Amino acid sequence: MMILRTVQTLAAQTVAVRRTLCLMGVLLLAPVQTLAQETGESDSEGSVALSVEELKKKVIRLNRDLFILEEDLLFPASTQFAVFLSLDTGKFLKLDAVKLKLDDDTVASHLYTERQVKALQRGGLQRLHIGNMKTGTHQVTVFVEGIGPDNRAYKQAATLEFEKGTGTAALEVRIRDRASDYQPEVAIVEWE
Amino acid sequence: MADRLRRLPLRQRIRFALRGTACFVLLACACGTALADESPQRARDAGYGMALYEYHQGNFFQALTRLNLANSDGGISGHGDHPLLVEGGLMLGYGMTREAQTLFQTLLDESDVPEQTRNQAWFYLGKVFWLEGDADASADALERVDGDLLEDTDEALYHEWLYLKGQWLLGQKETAETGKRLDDMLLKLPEQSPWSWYLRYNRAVQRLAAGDLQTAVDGLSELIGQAVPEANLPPETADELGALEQQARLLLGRLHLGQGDFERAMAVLDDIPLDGLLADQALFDYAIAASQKGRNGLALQALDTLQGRPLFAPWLQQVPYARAFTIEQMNRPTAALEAYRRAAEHYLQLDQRLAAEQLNLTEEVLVKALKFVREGSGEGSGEQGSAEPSLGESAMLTDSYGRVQVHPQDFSLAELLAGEAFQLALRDLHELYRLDNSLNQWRQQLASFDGMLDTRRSRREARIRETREALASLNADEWTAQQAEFRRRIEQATDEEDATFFMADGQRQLRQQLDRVEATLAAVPDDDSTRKQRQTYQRMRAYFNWWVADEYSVNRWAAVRQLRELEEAMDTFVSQRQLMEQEMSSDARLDEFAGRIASKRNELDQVDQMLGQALNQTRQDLMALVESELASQRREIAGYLKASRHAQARLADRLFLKPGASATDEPSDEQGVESEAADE
Repeated sequence: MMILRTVQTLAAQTVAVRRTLCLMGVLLLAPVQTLAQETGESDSEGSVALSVEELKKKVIRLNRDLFILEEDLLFPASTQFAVFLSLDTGKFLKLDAVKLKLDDDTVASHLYTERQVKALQRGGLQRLHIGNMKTGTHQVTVFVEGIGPDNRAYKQAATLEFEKGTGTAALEVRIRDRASDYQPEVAIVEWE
Repeated sequence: MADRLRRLPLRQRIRFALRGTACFVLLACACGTALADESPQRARDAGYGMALYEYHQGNFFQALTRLNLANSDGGISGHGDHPLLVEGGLMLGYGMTREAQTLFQTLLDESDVPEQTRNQAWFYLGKVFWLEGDADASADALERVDGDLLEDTDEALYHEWLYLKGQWLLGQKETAETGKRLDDMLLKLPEQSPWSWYLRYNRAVQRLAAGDLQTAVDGLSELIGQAVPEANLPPETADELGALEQQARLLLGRLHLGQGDFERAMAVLDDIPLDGLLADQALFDYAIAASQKGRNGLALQALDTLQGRPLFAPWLQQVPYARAFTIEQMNRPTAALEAYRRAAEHYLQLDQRLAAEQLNLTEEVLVKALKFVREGSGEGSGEQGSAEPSLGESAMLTDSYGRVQVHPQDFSLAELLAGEAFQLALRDLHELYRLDNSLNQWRQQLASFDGMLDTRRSRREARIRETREALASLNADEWTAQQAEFRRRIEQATDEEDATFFMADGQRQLRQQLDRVEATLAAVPDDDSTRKQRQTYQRMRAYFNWWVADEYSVNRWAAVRQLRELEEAMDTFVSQRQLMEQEMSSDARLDEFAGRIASKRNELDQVDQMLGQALNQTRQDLMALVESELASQRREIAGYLKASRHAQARLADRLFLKPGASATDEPSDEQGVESEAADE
């Protein structure tokens, strides 16, 4: 009897316990109430979401156009030269840094975050450098640093001499695992 | 507490959304795997590869821009329709669900889409509809997915598909048929898959909503019975399953509490770790169960533990009152009176604070009350010295759906912060500020383009000046006049058949010699001594004249040919000069660039205007949410305050009427709790 009275008093006098005792009722109503709340809010939320979505669409287009404008202005097709970097699996190398030299001038250097390395491992392609270049023979050298097999510091360089014509030129620094000797392999190839 | 329970489905949706994005990430990997032969991860299209690079770093905006660039530059080659699926996933991640829907529908309308891609597109379309709350359209799209094919293509997506279908079934009226279908789906899901746990938990909630309390209790008990120690779970799902288990225990404890089975309620709640996410709720419910079981010492201990913690969430504000009430139940009126007095003071101060907050509520104040997490730092990394990021900064840590990772610095916002509406409004505000920052950057970029064009123009003008000076020094007009004079003289000589005009160099030399001889002969006396010379001269002159006449056509042709060559050279010179003049007089290329820059600046202004409107609207929405939350909290606090004061008055009367029950007769709080706990 004492317990019962206590429960009754709790229910009558305290908001806290009243809410607890109402738990079941609330639970029963919960999905319906939630739905009702959501329906009431959905109209205004919808219109805001729509305008924000429309805005995002416009901004993406604008950003794209600015990219194109920038490239047209700064890197005309006849002189444009780009270097991409790809990392194929990267099991034998934890990439830390890359330095790119063009005809003995350092034109790009990059330190990688974990997220960037993961993005490269998942098929991402980084544009390491974009610039202008005269026609003729040029030499590109890349220096790759990281942690290689057995957690040992790893450094490797690769060089390519190539002929720049009158069109856009693109090279790829390709880092991939070499299964034959469990070592990473760095190569510069012309982008196909 | 009730509010928290009411929010459960929302939380599940958030969790679902998070998991959904994870699957999109997996999808992107699958794209590469399916298409490449030698090097499965390598992008074959540079534009697509760059988009993936941004995508996998969570830079949805840049990734979408890159895809747009690639599409405008002749499209993406070598990856089939997968870039479209990735774009759809990016749009979902960037909060562009309607665009994603259109994209998937367009993909499905195409006739030459491979079956696997079509299957996945149906799945994602179903998911888009689900996220937009259109359950029937979602079910329709999900029904079109070939489960076996999806399982072969991507097992994770297959599990999510089962979950979505199960969720749809849960939304239907439960019949034997729907129950059986749901059982089948649960059987197909691995036992320790979070999807299976969510479905089982939601099923229990649904049964509860249908009034089937016992089945809900059985379902939750069964679910908890399946739990395995976190150490035995895969690391990627251990935390999630652990949290789900705690949630299930909390709900089951509350159900036992509602059934009056306090012993079981206490036993179930007792297994929720004290440092867990739901420890506070569990402690409070445990206190209620203990109190109702008549074990007030334990109840007070639990409430004291809660009171000792920062009363962070609004629902925890009931603790001071509940604590005072429990002390009263322990028949310690003086201590209870003091506890009620303290509770009333606390509520009064709180109400005053909330009123002040309500009055001074601005976006700045709201932002100050939130603690944002910087990317690359763990929970609460703000203490580690790195500056806290502000809204719109790209360093802000966000989840896969762009929701900012934030902790409340002000307890009054804790509940609100957990709500979907606030999260979405905050996400939009962050995103809009990011866009605003981007717009400012682009403005600077356009200004730098202007500067670049001005430099190019001035360089060009300098070159034009140099060219004009060089042309002037060449006396080009004099050349043209000379050429015309040559032509005139040759034509005149031709008309007059002037053979001497067309004489070759040798003939001219000979004629000069003959002329000198003639002059010499004219100076000497015309007698016998010079006759022979004169005759010789006459013969030579006659021969010369004959020779010139004979060679006339050849010589004339040679002169005309030279004239023609000269004219050709002059024509080239004149046309090049004209071209140069034209080039010097017009600025077509630079004008075209200037036009493009001006057009983009106009677009930027329009977007800026739209952005301003959207920002205002989002700010207002956010403020309205906070206003409403603060008002609701004040109403609740007013209830606690009133109850505390009533209890104070009641107890004061009681003590006044029974003067024997003085404070000195009662043990102190600590002593009371210790003795009660010892009794337990």
